[in-house]
Amino acid sequence: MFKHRVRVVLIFILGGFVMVSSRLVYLQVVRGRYYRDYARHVHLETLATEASRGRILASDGEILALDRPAFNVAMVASELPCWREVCRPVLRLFRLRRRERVLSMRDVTVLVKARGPCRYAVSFGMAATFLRRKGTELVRSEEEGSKTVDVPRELAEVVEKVAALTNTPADEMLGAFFRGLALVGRGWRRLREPCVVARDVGFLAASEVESNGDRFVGFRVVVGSRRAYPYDELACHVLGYMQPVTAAEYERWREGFAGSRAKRFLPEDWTGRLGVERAAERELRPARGTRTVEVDAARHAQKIIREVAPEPGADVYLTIDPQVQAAAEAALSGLVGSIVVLEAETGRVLAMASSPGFNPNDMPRHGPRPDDPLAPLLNRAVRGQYPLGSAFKLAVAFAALQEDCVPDLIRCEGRYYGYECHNHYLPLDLDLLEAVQRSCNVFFYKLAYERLGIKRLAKWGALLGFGQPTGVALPGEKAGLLPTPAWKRRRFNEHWYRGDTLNLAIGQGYLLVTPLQVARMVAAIANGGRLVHPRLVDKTVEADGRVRIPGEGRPVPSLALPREKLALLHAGMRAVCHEMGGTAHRAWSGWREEQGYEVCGKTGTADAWIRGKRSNVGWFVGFAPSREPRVAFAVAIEHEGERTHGGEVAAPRARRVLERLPERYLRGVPGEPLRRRARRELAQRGMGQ
Amino acid sequence: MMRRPRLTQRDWLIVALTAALLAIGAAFVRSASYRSGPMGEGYYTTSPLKQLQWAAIGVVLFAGVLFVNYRHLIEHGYALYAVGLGALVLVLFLGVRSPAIQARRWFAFGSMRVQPSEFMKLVMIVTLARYLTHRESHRRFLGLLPPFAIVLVPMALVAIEPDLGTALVLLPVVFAMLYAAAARAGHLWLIVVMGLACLPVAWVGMRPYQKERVLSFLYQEDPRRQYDSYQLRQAKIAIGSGGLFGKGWEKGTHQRLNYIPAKTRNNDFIFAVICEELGFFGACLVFALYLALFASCLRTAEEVHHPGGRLIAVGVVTMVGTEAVVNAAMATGQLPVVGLSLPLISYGGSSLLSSLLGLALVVNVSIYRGVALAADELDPEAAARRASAPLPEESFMHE
Repeated sequence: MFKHRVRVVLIFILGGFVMVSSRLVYLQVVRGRYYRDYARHVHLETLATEASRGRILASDGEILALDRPAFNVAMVASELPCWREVCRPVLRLFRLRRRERVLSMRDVTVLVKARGPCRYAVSFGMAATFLRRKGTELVRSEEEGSKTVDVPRELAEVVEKVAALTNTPADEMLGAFFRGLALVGRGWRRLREPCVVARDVGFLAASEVESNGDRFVGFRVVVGSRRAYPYDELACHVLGYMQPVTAAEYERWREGFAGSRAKRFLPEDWTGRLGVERAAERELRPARGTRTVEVDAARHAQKIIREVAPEPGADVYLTIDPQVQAAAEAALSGLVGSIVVLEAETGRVLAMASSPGFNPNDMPRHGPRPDDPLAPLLNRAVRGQYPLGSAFKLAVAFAALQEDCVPDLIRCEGRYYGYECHNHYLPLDLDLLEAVQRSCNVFFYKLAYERLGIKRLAKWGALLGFGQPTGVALPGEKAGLLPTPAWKRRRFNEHWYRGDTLNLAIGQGYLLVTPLQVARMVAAIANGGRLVHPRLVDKTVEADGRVRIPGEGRPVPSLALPREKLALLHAGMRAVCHEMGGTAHRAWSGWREEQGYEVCGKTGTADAWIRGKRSNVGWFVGFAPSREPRVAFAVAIEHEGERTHGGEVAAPRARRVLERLPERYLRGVPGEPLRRRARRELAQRGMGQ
Repeated sequence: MMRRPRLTQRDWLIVALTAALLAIGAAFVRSASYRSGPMGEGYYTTSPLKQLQWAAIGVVLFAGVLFVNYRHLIEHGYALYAVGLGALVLVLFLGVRSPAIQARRWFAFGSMRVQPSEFMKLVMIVTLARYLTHRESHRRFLGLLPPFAIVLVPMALVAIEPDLGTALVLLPVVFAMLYAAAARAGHLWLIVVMGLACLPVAWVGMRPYQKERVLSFLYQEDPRRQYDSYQLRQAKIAIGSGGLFGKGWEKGTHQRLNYIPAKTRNNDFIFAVICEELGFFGACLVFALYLALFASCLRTAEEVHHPGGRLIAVGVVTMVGTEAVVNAAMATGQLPVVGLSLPLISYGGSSLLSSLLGLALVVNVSIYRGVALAADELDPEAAARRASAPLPEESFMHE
């Protein structure tokens, strides 16, 4: 019988189904979890959502820096038509096997060479520390490698077109793209993540790229933001500017910043430089959010699965008053130097100008050249270190008054141990008032050497804040230098000579100060001996309204001086400006009639070597009004060549600033003593917290 | 013995199982015809509607076939064969090209496209049944040549369309029919071995995309080649992520998010969709339905005394069964990707019609098993001659 053969056919088919079913058991049951996770991994895409960086505002609420929306052009590696050709050599430079990873990456060098139209060669080099598998163990290994990729013509053509549209150099775009690619290879970034290659391209270029998707395959417009400084150069050194993170910074901050993973840096992120942008990076920097979406095979988002909202950065309110700042910058125009204006009672920085300046909107590409001899990026108020010249006599006088060793009269014969004085007709008996007024060198030589001694002078110099940073919220503040015998021994292995004391007495020799330090010293003299902390950041207001006041409650060192002694010093400084024979008398002539109040000041003219040339620095420091001091200021003007007196070069600048000083800084609430007002203000802020 | 044609209980079972598979097919063609778009704005294509149209046509033809005694068809087997060959030759010249793969497989009638190779399979079964019915030459090894020749000519024509899948499915059919027609198993094994020995020759003649498919099948777990077998990889993810119970109908994320390419999702890879949405148990249910269908059909084949009817039933079951197994094996990565649809379920008019017509033939065989041809009544002599001709199984009973 052959009927059974029919059943054999059925058995064959059954066998087929059993074969497939066993496979299904493997795929769906044994490996089910793997494939479920894998599918989720493919379907879900987590993208970062951006928030804007905090604004920087002036004390009167004027916005000095803000984020404005900008169109960026990004390249998506996985969407490029020739991505394999381009990406594979780079991605394969260092193969990672299972469990292996990159610990840190140094020296990513991307060199783009243009070899004629539409021909580019990208040399890509990298050194990194890997965790490599060796047998069953993971060991660290240092590796480096490089590769040169010829950019395919079709890609180069598109890049050049986009480059022409966006006004960005094509090699720069390629460089940014390949740097991004380096991170893909390390698993720190995904191939389909857009990599920004041209920033702030403008609406026309963006719409051109966006609407011609077929011509610019792999290019995408992503909305980002660009830092804008509405007042251009105003307070540029205080604000700082934005620049892409360096490789080293990225390395340090890629896992997190300011203790927050959401604030971590991506390689195309920009970071603040120089001013508050840098100093308050922790507060200003927004926290990225994430959005997990379900995407289809074409990477179209279908629905939002999970969302963590981004948090905008905190607004930073400065103590800077734009009017005063503008006045200070106008006073400095055309000169090299710095002006600092402080509120004497509180240490609030009303203006901090440094010249020459720059426009932070142009940074970094169109900013000043790094080899500019005048160093426009240098904030001379905190990073310029100059000898103080005669203005240091204020510190000597202050120290002597504190130590109670000021004689009634000192005779000036015109020279002292070979050190000269030609500030007045000789010989002359002077008291402290007149010595300050005329800036008599010999008086202060004798005072410093015979009465005070270097030990006590150095002690009070340090107490007045010289030789150490003021702690203002700016990066890279210099400490200056207050020479002491111990320092000299350490530095030069030499004894401290008499000449060193005499030099220091008139602010020459080794002494180096920053304008901010000087302004603070003057503020201390003005307010009766409280060495206030200069405050640049008034408060930070976070997105949810929380207010923080930095440096609040820091004890203010008090160097209190009896009223009558202080009055002597004040009188001397007043005489500098308003008495015949005062070193700045000419610059302030007619001031009292014009403004109705008087100014206390002190000139200084210091010999210095600046940029390798014999130069001098003209100083004018002081406070106003003379009776009830409110603002303290320091003006330093660098001057090359022949000697120019501080009273001639710096004092008129100070006058220009004070001329434009708003009324409110000269007058408190009517009838309220200044100090009480300052205390009340602090209390109010405490309440606001 | 004469009796009136009637539908037995088992015929109704066949019809019910067929209808069940058709319903599953319609449901999953619907699910697989979703196209996701940007911003979550997906839509359904019209393919479920078209499929329903084809199914309606299929049902009408199914019923129509039941009115014609299958023996008439067998009588005219050679004529049908000639017509089928003619169609296959014509389609090489007049057929429409599919833009995706450079193949001429279809005749276009308005918006409907008909694939003659699908129907040729049925014609082949009928022709082979005609050839093998009153003959015992195929018991000899050389006697196997004519039936293979009958198969190889249309196979070659289909293969140069090219449509390797459909062509290859003919081979199990002819083997099964020869086996059921009492050919010697040893001879058939010998041919299988010889065929395997010729595989390298076949490799040379394959087109690049066919070679790629075979290679990607062979290297499917090799990460270096994973880009080359994208479809297969996605199908496996879809199947695996379905797990035991599946994600639910119209909830299969992997397929609905277009990861399985839209072109093949509702035909070649619809099995992956079913596995994703119904899970392992759902796939087993489909298999069970198929097996029940095949078992009832083969039961009919066992009971039919007329050898032609039995061969038709065996041929149809082998055809449908092979397609089902090969399609499922292909989606799970056990066989290279060949363009075969899952019978009765996949989207595609010609394939649906040919499966339905095939099953209709089986039902036809069942209901006409005792009914003689009118021609036999007119020509009793010929009928007696045919009746006296020994059925193979009887003549070789002594073995």
